[in-house]
Amino acid sequence: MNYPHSVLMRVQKPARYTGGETGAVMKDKNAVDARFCLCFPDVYEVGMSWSGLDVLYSLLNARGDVYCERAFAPWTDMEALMKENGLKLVTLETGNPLSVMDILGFSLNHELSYTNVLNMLDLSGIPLLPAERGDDWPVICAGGPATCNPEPLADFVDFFYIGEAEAGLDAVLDAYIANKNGKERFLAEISALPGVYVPRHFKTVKKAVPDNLDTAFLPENFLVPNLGSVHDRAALEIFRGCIRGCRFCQAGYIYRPCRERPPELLLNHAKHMLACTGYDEISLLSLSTGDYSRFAELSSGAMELGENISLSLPSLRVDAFSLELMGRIAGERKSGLTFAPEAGSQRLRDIINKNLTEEEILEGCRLAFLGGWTRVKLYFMIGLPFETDEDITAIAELADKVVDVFYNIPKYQRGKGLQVNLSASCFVPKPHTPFQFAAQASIEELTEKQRMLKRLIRSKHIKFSYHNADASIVEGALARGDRRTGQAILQAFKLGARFDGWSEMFNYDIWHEAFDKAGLSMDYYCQRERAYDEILPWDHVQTGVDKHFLISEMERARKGLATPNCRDACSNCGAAGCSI
Amino acid sequence: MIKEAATINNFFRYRLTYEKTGVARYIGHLDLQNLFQRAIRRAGIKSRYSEGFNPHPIISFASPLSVGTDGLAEISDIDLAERIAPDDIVGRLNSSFPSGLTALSCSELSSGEKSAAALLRRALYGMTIRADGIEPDMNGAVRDFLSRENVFISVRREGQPPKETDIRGLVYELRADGNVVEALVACGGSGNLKPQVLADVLCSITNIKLCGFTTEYCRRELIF
Repeated sequence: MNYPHSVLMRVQKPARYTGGETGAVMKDKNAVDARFCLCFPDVYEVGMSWSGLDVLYSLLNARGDVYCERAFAPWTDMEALMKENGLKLVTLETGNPLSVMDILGFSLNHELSYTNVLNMLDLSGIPLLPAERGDDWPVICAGGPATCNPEPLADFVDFFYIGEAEAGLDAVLDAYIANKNGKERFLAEISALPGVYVPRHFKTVKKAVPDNLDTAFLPENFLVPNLGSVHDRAALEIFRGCIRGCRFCQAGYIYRPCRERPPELLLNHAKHMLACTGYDEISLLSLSTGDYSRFAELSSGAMELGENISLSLPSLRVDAFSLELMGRIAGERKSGLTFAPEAGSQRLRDIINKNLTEEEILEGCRLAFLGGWTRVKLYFMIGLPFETDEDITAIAELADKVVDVFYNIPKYQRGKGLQVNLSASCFVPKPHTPFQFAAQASIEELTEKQRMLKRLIRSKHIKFSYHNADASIVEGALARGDRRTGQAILQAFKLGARFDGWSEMFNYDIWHEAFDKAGLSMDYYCQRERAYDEILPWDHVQTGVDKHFLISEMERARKGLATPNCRDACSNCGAAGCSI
Repeated sequence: MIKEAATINNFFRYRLTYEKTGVARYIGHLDLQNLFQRAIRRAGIKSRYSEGFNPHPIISFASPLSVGTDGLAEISDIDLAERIAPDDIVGRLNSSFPSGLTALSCSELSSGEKSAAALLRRALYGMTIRADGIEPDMNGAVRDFLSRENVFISVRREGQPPKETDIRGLVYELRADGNVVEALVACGGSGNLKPQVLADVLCSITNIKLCGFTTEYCRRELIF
């Protein structure tokens, strides 16, 4: 057992810490050349729902000379008991401490997980700074979307793998095995590989990216959690990247170019995945599912994957075709429909390049209400660049119009009990997007916008929800941080910050004090507009999209000009290997 | 035209005995239900599905097992849409169960048979009692308990005054070997005694404080 019974009986959800799931790989740890632990800086259920886990776990364990295990961040109750009982963080597979691994690979999906990275090292008894980790300690690496700005964690990490694992992670493992006895030699050697960034050997780094996904590695092995996870279903990644170019969306830029997998390959893989996992639901995963070029073919194939297999379609634009499809999937059970206008006015939607018009939203709602749906979710952001009070007013007006659409339908043609769930999150400018130059709205401004919106919503059918503005400020400071930001993260960790992405755990005062102690100000990172010629802390990371393109997109935003999607017209973003 | 019941209903009922130990003892009852459904699908066995808006495989368990308690011979009833040799079901489930779950035996039920949950009357538990770092000898407590005609405990329910209940009649057999106690107790819908409650009573008889985290429980047998 990884932890004593007496400890497991004292925590909520002990199955988080026991392993032994279907798909867990058991190997002879003495028969491999490298032991790798995938470290996910969030709780088990969140990490096990992350679709990249199967890819990495399967990719690494497909090698006979590597054993890849897993570790997740222990929840605070477990952390307290581990400290009380002198227990170290161990892997789920062998129950060995992380400190005996050769390489620890952290997956960084968002900035508010950074303190958990330090905490997982600390709970393993591993020194936080590379200078204190000689050859006997594991090599610490990190990958994932947040590493497109690696600098905030550069003080703690030996190397970053920036980009997609399928393209070149194998070469890194090969180099490790060839240089097993010298960490420095290994790091010097891999710093020449695509996607590898060794902070001690500062250089420009090109994102590692497989040219096409037809031939890229597909997982053979799938983990099925023993504990209900956030997404208890098989996830089928249908394409990577996005043709839309919404100017706020980091994923839309860093995953370029848009690469689709063919329907035949996907449907075969889906069958294999369902047979291996036993899931009865499959979800088509992408940034904008409706943009898949052979969507009709794929969706009808996906509906026939098996008896009692249900299909879920997140990120789908609502129009006549998708409604007909969702109607067939849902049968009599009609859950909510989601629209993401992101901004209330057409002017601001043009600025952020979200090409969804008010007519499309209202017509989508009308068709949905006629089809029997009565619950609609509307997602907006507040604090967007160039936003005015009129844009906030427009959010409330758009929600009111949705209510009007419902009541303009004759009673016998619509369902009962309309519910419009309006959610407004706080915009955070992210690196490698056109808005990376923009100032972020302050806590006071965001709070005022929230208050204003709340006042404007009167209909009893509209339920308004919003997030804490202060967490988005910390997220913004870390997202656009530089190497000095690491000291603030270290201070926050020492002051007890954990699971900052969980609203019940987030503590703004800790972060304020941490930035103070590090001699830094969050305002400097958040509220400052960057000049186009400023050298940004992430400029040495090349995602393939030119900085000139980001600048021209920011200028088009300033002028309120939309940019066509990649299929309608190429805007020459610079993404390498693009074949659209 | 008259057909066999099974053919009319078009499903087949099986009773499975399985072990839930090791890491699987930390799997909660709801998660276990999902895990069974997935294991059956992985095994390529066709379940019978319920009707309605949200069809799900029909699987029922004789009695839920507390998280952290080992089960050496747990029982579940599984309805299938196909007839499969019971030994084959055991073999196929064992190749698809996760660590700690093992199918032991299986038998086909006639269509009129009552469910395991309805038939269940008793359960045999093993308890390894621990209290504040000691492994107390439980022989005295067991003798004392058996010699009493009534053993009242107070059961607290939210929003209601505590209720006195006699648990003596729910304990059929009780013996101790050092700190290991074996108890045959009522289990199921017509009377149920949790081993944790019994362990607590036995400890209070000998004036020691039971440690709920280190004491280990094992359900050895379910009896109809």
